Amino acid sequence: MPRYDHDHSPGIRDSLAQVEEILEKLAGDLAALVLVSGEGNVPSPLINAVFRDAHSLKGVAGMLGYTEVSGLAHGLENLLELLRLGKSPLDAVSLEILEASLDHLSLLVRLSCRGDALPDSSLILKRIAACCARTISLPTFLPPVPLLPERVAAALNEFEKHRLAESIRRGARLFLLHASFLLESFDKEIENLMDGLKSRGEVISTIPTPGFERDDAIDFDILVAADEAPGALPSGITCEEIPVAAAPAHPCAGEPVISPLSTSSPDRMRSERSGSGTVRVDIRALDELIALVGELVAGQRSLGNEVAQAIVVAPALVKRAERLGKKLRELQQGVMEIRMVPLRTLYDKLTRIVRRISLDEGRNLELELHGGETRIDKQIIDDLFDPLMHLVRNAVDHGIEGAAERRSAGKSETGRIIVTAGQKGNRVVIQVADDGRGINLAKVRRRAAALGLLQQPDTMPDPEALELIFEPGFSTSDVISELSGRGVGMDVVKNAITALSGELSVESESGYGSRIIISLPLTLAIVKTLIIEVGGASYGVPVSAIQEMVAVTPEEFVSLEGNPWLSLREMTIPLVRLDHFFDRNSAPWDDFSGYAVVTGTSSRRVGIMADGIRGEHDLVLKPLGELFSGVRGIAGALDLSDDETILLLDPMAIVDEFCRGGSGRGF
Amino acid sequence: MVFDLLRTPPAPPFDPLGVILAGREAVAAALEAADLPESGGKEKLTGFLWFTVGGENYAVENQRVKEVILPRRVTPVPRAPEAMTGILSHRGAIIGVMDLSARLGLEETLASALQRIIVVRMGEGLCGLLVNRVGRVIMRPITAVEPLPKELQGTEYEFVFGIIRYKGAQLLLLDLDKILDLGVRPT
Repeated sequence: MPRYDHDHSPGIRDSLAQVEEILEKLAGDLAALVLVSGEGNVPSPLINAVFRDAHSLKGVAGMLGYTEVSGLAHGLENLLELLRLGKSPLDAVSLEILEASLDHLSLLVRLSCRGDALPDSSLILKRIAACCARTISLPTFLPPVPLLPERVAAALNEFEKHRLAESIRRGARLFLLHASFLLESFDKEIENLMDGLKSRGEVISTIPTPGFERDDAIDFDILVAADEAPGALPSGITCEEIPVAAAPAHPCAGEPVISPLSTSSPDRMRSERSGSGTVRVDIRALDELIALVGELVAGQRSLGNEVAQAIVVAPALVKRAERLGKKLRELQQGVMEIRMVPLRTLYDKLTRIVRRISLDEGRNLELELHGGETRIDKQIIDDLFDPLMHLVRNAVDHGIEGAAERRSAGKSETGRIIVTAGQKGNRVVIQVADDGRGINLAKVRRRAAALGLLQQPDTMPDPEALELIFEPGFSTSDVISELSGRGVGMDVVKNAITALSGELSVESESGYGSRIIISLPLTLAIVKTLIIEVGGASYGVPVSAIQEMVAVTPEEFVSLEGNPWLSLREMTIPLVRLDHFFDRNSAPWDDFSGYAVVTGTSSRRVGIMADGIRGEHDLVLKPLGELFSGVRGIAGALDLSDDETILLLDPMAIVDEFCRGGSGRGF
Repeated sequence: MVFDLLRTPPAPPFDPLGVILAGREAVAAALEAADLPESGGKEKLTGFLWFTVGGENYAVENQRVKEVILPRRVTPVPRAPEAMTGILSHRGAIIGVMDLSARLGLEETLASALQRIIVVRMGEGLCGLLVNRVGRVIMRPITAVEPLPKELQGTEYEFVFGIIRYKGAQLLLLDLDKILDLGVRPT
């Protein structure tokens, strides 16, 4: 079994990033292919896209020495070649193998990057070979072949001939366009022309031909199959219809294969152009840039404070400083935007997983996805896939009933899972809903009592009882269904979301389904922060974690068994004094007047006590570094100005610890 | 063996500018010219940055040093390991600051105008070491690093890697990896 060393050299890192990128594109293109091919037509641009992805993957993986990856990509490429030439059928069998290959490829790439031992690929390669062997017998009827000019006929590759034959068989008319473009702008112009042509028919081939009239121009022959003649064309483009002869002039298959990626192929040209629209950036280089901009903003803030004093002597200076500050914040936002990635990349993977489950387990499932364009920090996306997958898996295992049960409940046999995403303020809210049986609250209560999670489960309000499913050790398999517990405990999902500064809640209606709601910050790099003062020190609290902030008067301040509580609208909320929380040897205190910053979940609320409030800022979050890795309750550091750095609290960690060990801390 | 680096006369008590200038001058003088090797061989030379903590002379490999900065406002981090005084932000990066005297188990030294923070590289990050005073960079072939004499071995010298001689003084060469590994504790 081959093993690969973990190499961090920039060149390798870049290539690895490229492999991941190609895989991602492959997954997306394949998902699109699966979606469209169900409608019975052969979506040639999509097969071509997948084919190109497999081809590039083979190249890059081969360069990196990932022989297993490039070997499998090679097999995949062979199969795709047959599929796109129509020599092998594009049906459920081949789609399934394509998806299985993609899964195996992803696994191989992940393990290869880590240098782990690789699993055996021979089985999947055998399946690919078997699939390749399922060739379609050539139709006995050979379609009529058009009378193409010799220069055009000679330039067509096998795939283009196949598409040409297909089009004629469909009864489409053929048109040959001749266009001449200036060298300096031909890429743009030809793209525009293509867009126009594609909306009316299929562009079978674009063949560059030498332009004889001008040195600064390039000519193209464009072969189009369409039902009617192209409408108004830009000047300089001629169009003639090619008559389709009744008798075949030559067979359309069995000829030597012309390389489909020859430089004159229009597909090739397009792929290179679309690639040039994006720039690959090392995330570390980007983070350095973000840090630098954050520093500028902090510097500007200190400068602004100083300059503000000069308002009487130099009002213009103050105005200019303010304008500079505004521009700087725009720059900061612009740089942050680069880190944002659409959720669609995750959706493609979810689609494949649900498809896999329906095939493997014979379930009738439908996955609806909304809001794939919602963008979120790349760092969050990377860690969001596992929890989302678990939620979908749980919905299938525990939420959606079997076909018979659904029928008797008057539901459609197809179980639906609906994932929606959207931005709300500076949070992204993702919901995973199913139309299954819902969560059985009575069972949840019984289970919670059995686990000793609560003394009087019956008195707990329903919404709070539902939240119990997020408790550690609360195996959902016993509670929600009798199905095997292949799903992961919800506490794992909750931990993953909490680690991303996210929140998780659940809604459910018996018989109608459940809904898990995830709320995440847009980015982990910039935090909207409330700055509080406690015992002479300043701390930041992420605004997203704050439920409310109240001024505490001595009347609202209650002492129960020596611990401070806040009575707020008929509720009592325990109060945390930070200096005491972090260091139990700190001096005790007797009275308090100030603010309580209320944080936590609906079932576990805690008020963090503050002597004063300094205001709210958008700040760049920076890690404390490994020397402080064991420090709980602190999420990182924030530069408030050039010479002031404060700590950002991790409210969830504080609430967790406080609720777990509060009594031992003398509160 | 205590070798006093503090040759500069104490700064006048009521002249802050003087203090600053004296401090700058001292650093500049210390860093400007590397001292010539005492054994003028052809061997490849390694730089060692000389500094004092708690009245003792120490050195670290200059290759690990990113820069030397003036002490500034340090934000204390609650629950941090004992020797870690807190963090500061320098050129956009958060740097943990370690009080080297506390780390080495030496007596606490009072703040003075000559105190410096030596910023050293640690993995992908940085760490600041608070020291009493920074001297110059001393060039020596790596073979000039002597093992620690038997009489000096023991728990007290847990973090010392070897000895370099400079003008009759002994500089204790610190093992930075051990210093920065907070799992290793002085006994």
